[in-house]
Amino acid sequence: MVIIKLFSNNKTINTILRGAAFPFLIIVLWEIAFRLGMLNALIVPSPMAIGHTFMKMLFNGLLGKHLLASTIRLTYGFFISVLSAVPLGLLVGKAKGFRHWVNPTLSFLQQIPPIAWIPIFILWLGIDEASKVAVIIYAAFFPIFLNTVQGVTSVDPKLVEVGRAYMLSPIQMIRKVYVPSAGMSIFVGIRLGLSNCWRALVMAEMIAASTGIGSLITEGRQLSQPDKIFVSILTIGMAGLIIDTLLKKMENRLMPWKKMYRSGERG
Amino acid sequence: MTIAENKKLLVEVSNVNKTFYSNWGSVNALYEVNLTCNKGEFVSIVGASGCGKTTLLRIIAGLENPSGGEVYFEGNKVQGPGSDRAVVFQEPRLFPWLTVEKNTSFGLQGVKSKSEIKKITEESLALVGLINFKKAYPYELSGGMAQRVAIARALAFEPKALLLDEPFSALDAQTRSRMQLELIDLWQKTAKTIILVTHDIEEALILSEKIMIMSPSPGSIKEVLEIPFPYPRNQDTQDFIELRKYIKKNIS
Ligand SMILES: Nc1ncnc2c1ncn2[C@@H]1O[C@H](COP(=O)(O)OP(=O)(O)OP(=O)(O)O)[C@@H](O)[C@H]1O
Ligand SMILES: [Mg+2]
Repeated sequence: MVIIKLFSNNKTINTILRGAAFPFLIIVLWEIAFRLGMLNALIVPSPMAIGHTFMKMLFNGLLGKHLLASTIRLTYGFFISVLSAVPLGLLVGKAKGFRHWVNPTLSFLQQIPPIAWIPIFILWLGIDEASKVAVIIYAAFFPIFLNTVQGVTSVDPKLVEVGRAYMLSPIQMIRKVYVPSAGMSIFVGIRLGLSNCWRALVMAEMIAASTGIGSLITEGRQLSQPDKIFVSILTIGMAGLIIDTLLKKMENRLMPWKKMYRSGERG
Repeated sequence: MTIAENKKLLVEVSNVNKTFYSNWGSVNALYEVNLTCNKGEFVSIVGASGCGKTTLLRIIAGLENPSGGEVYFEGNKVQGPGSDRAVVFQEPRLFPWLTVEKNTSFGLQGVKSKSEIKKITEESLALVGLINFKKAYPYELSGGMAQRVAIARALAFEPKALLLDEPFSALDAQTRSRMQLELIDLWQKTAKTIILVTHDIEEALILSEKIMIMSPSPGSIKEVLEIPFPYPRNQDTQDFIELRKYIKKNIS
């Protein structure tokens, strides 16, 4: 048991080390290039300077404040999206007739990137929170909705038949066969949706916001503070990475069979 | 022969026809099939691929409706799946999100108390020799183990008849013969009625008391053989070999 634990720990450390090797190399080369005077300090700050600005912004609360603003928007938009996309996906997935009516419209909407809607959302919903939340809802909706539909329609008819052979009532059939079976796919949609809306949020905040991590980038550009821009970009990437890692962890916890189920034909 | 005359009769298939219609034409899968199976009997249905074995088993299970004729179970007409029959399909068909234990008790929830479910589940898993794997997920099992869980699931359902559709055909020769021995053992322990579909003559001869030979196009029962050999069966006796030759000649 202990040996297995140690081994798996070693493996995670190894994974992290290997993943960090490349960024580390870039940073070192960048710093060297800077020290050799090969870069213009006005437009390309040194990694050390960026690190310094990062620490400063972290400790004076600026970073926290903007990150919090973004997180609140993300939470609202994301949950509204889940609460609308999952039920609608279940409905469309189950009712074949309904699908023909809505599919073309949805396929059309799916082609439009969230950023294209930002001006019209601002026009309709104002410059405040509502327009940004709307962008997030839109960005998360399609991955969640489409994966839910996919999950419901791809429930293995052989498993449904097992349910029938073992005399499940219609309610039990939904609870014990359809929902868990579609759950895997729904979760994939939720993961995609969340990373989609994180990116869309940053875009929306860059275009129109005075708070939020995206607005920091715009501010950095207007004030010619490239270090600030880099700090924001770094934060955006890391926050996205953390969100995705947490969701992956949760997914593995909730559905330990999933990895094998997808790759192998057993079961 | 009516039910009143024969209390031992469990399954009666009477003049069953089945035609499948598809956009390229129709297939007459079963034609005027008649068979009977007594309580506690081990019956095999053998026949060439496509002769309608699975279709017949599915009709007995109530998963498919006959186009004509009837199936009676203990004298009652079969009109759908029932808790008196449990099917083991050709593939394990386990639920990947459930542990071995939960897969085994799949058919039980809502019908029995928690402690009863636990007891039946453990008994069934013990019968198939997988009690130590109750917390495992299907992906952690070998093909043979998965099939044994499928059998445990059927046993836990406590049916009067087990309907098995080529349950060992996906297994390698060694696992298959081990599973066959386990099945005989299980049948002798539980005294369940077993109807086994197979295209493996050897398997039918090792396992069953009665073999029904089906012929194709349209699928019908050609001959019913009583197998007189005692268990465990010796595959090397002259009689066994003769019978195998005879059946082989008759399946075509
Ligand atoms: N759902 C279906 N729709 C149309 N035709 C079917 C269907 N199920 C079976 N058939 C046809 O009925 C016939 C009998 O099929 P069945 O599956 O019962 O054969 P089988 O004896 O079990 O064969 P095998 O040994 O290969 O499993 C075949 O010709 C098949 O094409
Ligand atoms: Mg078959």
